[in-house]
Order: sequence, then C-alpha cells, then structure tokens
Amino acid sequence: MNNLSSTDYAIYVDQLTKRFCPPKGLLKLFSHSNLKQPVNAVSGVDLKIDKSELFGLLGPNGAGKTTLIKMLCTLIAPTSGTAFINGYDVVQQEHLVRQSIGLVGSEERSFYWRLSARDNLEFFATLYGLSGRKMSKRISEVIDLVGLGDHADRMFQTYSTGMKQKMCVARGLLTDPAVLFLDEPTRSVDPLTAEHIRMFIKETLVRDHGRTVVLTTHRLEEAEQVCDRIAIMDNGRILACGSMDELRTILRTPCEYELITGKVDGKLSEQLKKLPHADNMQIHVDASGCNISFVSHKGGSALASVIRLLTESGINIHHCRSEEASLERLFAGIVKKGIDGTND
Amino acid sequence: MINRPLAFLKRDYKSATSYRLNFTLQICGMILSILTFFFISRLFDESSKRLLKEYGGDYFSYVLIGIAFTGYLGVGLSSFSSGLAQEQSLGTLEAMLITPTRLSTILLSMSIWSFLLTSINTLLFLAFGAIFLGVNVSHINLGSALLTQALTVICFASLGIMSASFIMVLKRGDPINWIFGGVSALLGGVYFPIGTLPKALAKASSLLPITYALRAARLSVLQGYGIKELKFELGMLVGFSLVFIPLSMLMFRWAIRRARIDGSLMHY
Repeated sequence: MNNLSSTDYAIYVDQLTKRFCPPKGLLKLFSHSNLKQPVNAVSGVDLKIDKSELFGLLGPNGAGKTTLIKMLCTLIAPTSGTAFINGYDVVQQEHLVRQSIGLVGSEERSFYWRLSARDNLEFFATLYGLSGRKMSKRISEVIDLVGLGDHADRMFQTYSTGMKQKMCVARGLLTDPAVLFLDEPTRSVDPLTAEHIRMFIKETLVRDHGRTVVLTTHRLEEAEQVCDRIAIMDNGRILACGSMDELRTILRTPCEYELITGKVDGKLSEQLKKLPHADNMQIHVDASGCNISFVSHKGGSALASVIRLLTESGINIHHCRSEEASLERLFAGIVKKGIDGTND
Repeated sequence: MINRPLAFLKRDYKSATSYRLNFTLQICGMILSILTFFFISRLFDESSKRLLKEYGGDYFSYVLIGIAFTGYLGVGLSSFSSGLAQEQSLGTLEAMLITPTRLSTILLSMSIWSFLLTSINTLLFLAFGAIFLGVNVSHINLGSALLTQALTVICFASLGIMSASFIMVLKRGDPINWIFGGVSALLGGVYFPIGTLPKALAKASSLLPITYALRAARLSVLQGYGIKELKFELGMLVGFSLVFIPLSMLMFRWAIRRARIDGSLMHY
C-alpha cells in the first residue's frame, strides 16, 4: 500500500532526480558514452498532477522534459526521489505503471512501414494485452477517433506525415489509459489537424473520459489554449508551475493598458504621469482625441486611478483595452529568471 | 500468453512476404550453396573418407547436415541482438517497452520468426539433398534428431541472449558473437571432421557446444542413433544449457538495468 498522498494524485513526483554519470571501470574502455562529467538532467523535481487534469510541460531544448517523461514511463531509472503514476511506484511497480499509461511520442517512424495501419495497431494492442473481439473493436474505435477510418488498410509507408502522427495518437489510446503522455503531438501536422487534435485532447480525453494528460509542447499558445496548469522547466528544474494566472502572479508581469479618450490638456497629462503604479505613461494627442497607454504591475488598481482622474476631469473615455502578458513572455521571463537565479 | 509471440510471428511473416523477390532469392541462394558443396564432395576419394566413416562415409551428407544445423548457431547468436538493433533503429522499441509486455517476452518473441525460418531451411536442405542429390536419410531417428534440435536451439539462443546483453550496453561489437560465431565454424566440425585438426585444436573444439550439436545431429539423421547412444553428446548440450541459460538471464537483467540507468535503452 503506497502512502496516501501518492494515491490521491494521478502523478505524484517527489524530489525526482536523474544524474547521468560517465562510465567506470571496463565500461569506460568500451562504452559508447561521451560523458566526461556527471550531468544532472533532472534535479529534485516535485510535481502533483490531479486526476483528469491537462498538464503542460514546457521548456527549451535540453531542459530535461524528455528525461522526466521517460522516468515516469519507466524507460529511464531515476537516480533518487520517488514517482507514482496512478498510485504505482515507477521503480517498484513498473509493470503496473505501464498498464496505466500511454505514450504518444513525436517519433512518427515508430511503426512497421510494410504493414497496414490496422496490422500495426493489432500488433501493439496485443502487446498491451488486448485480444479477440475486444481488440478489433478498440482498434476500429481509435482509428475512427483520429479520423483514419478510410485508410486503415493502407500500408503505413504510404501515409502522410500528419496521418503518421495520428497513428501515434491512436496507438497511445489503445488501452484507454488513465494517464497519457503526449510528446508534441501536433508537431508535424497542419493547423487544422492540430486544432482537431487539441480539441480531441481537451474535450474528448480530459473532459468526457476524465483522463489525465501530460502534454509536452514547444507551441506556447497550444499550452496556453488547452492546459489547466503549466510547468516551465529548464536545466532539469521546474522553474514555475501553476495556472496561467498563477504564473503571471508569480512573475508579477506587467499588464499593458490602452485608452482612447477625449482631448487631454497639459496639466492633466502631468497629473496622469504622476499617478502611482502606472508606469511608462504615454499620451498622444491628435485632432480627434487622445491615446493613453501605460503598463502596471498592480493590475486593476492603476487602471482605476487613471479612469477616476479622467472622469473627474470630464474627459470621455471611448475605448479601454488591457493586454495581459502572453505565455511566450512569461516563458522567456521565467527561463531568464531561472538562469539569473542559477548564476546568483 | 501465446498471443504475444504469435503477434510477432504474424508481423514478421507479413513483413517478410511483402518482399517477395527477396524471399525467392533466399531459397535460390540456399539451393546454390547446396550444389556448391555437392560438387566439392566429388573431389573426395575413398581414402579421404576414412574420417567420415562413423557418419556413413559420404562428405556431402556430412557437410549438408553441418550447414543446416549451423544455421541455428547463426540465428541464435545474431537474431536477438540484430532484432533489438532493428527495433531501436526503426524507433519501435520504445513503443514496445512502454507496454506491459516484459522485455524478456519481447526479446524471445522477436527471434521466433528467425528460428522458424531456420527450421524450414534445415528441412528444405535435407529434403533437397535427399530427393535430388542422393543423401540417405532413411535411417533417421526422429526422436533423437528433434531432441538434438531443441537442445541446440536452447543452447545457441542462450548465447544469443548473452550477445544481446553486450549490444544493449555497448551498442556495437560483442565478444560472444565473435568467439562462438568465428571459432565454431573453424573448430566445430561444420565443413570437415574434427579428426583432421591438430590435437590441440581438436581438444579446444570440445569446449564448444556446436561440436556436440553437430555430432548428435549427424549421427541421429544419418546413422539413426537413438537418445541412449547419444547420451554423451546430448548430456553435454544439457550441461551447456544449464550453465548458459541462467548466465544469459543474469547478463540480460544486468544489461537492462545498466541501460535504464544510462538512459541508453533506445540508443543504437
């Protein structure tokens, strides 16, 4: 029986670390490894992912995302720390872990090219322990689900890149796993198919079927669009983790505001520029009115001060727009902060 | 339990038969190699057949069975490691390892097709030799021949798993294949009787399982020797198996653990 905290979550990771070391002894002579110094690919990662959560894992190349996912999928042994998937220990109960997970890789080659899509899925379904009618039914279901119904009996080598990617998704869904790891599932597909896959993940897998999904992606807008929470990783560490709002709060990223108003005179302009928390105040006056823009870390309170001052001065406000920091800016900010922190 | 090996068999059959010309050429190549040895055997006169007396005195029959059974050594030594390497390069190994199927099942199932094909080759070799080239297999003792074949497969497959363990960790180059593959052809009595070797080399051949496998195969197929008469050869094969099986399992388990620690399970 695992401890309670690990079984409460779909994924529970505690101080998980992977340190790759150079080979020793005889292996040093014959090993293919080029490693000269120990490398910490993942360092003390803590994660708690709820059941039915769509969790995004973001990070630049070499951040440690793939090593982390592979440890959770039992393909790489952790150096220290613990991880539980669906309540099962990834080291002690790897067989049970594999029964609970599906992995949709970005490697579209990972099929037998001389076999049809159906034959390929039949082969992998058997390895997942499916057989007979149940297997045939499930294969037909996943083929239809990813929209390959009309092409299921074609040789895999005749498929387009997008169709191959869909096959990766279909294979990952064969057992209807409790936890699904998706490693850049939309990398090689056209925007329409990508949107279809995103909606399928969010609405069908997570909302309708209650599956837990961990999505690794380089498309920041994709993570922003579909994920409930996002972890940003670099140098083997989780630098920040939370919902988009939480990430914005963590970084206290400024919000940009723009107002289009009636004409503002010089005196009022000076008053506006002196308002607290409304930084970088820009006021452009033209024949039709005035364009006021500023940034603020204090969110609504700075905007309220600006609006109050304008209305008390009898200025009409025609338009007001705010723009929150995009995930792209947050990502860059968090990674930069992480690097600075490391340097410190 | 049987579904998984069958799935591999089905996959490999479909894949192999999709290359029809290659399949046909393999059969043609086999016939050409038989004919080559058939004509070489005509060079042997009566005096040189002294060393072949216990096998019936016919060089062609001797070498035919040697080549046919050596196929098991080749496939045993290479099918596991080449199977792993092929799956790694195709990118399918990761997809397999993520399933609840044990790696040992995957590894053993991967080689079934190769062993089946070798068995068919062996049968075709013997049938072609018997029907068209006068090899006398009328004395065959089927029971001892099949037991020899089974022990040969077990013994060579264990060596193959050891070989795969090296490949799993070092990726290229394994000493097991080099030692047993290279030395067996020279010392194991595949193409010529061990009696023709210098004494020291003949003694060294007694350390190789192929020596006993080929002797038992020839005597059971050509001379009709039963299990009782082949108890020494079969006993040696059992002895080799008893050492090789646990050793191969230990090595493979260690190799998998090492590859998981290195993160090199998918590297090639």
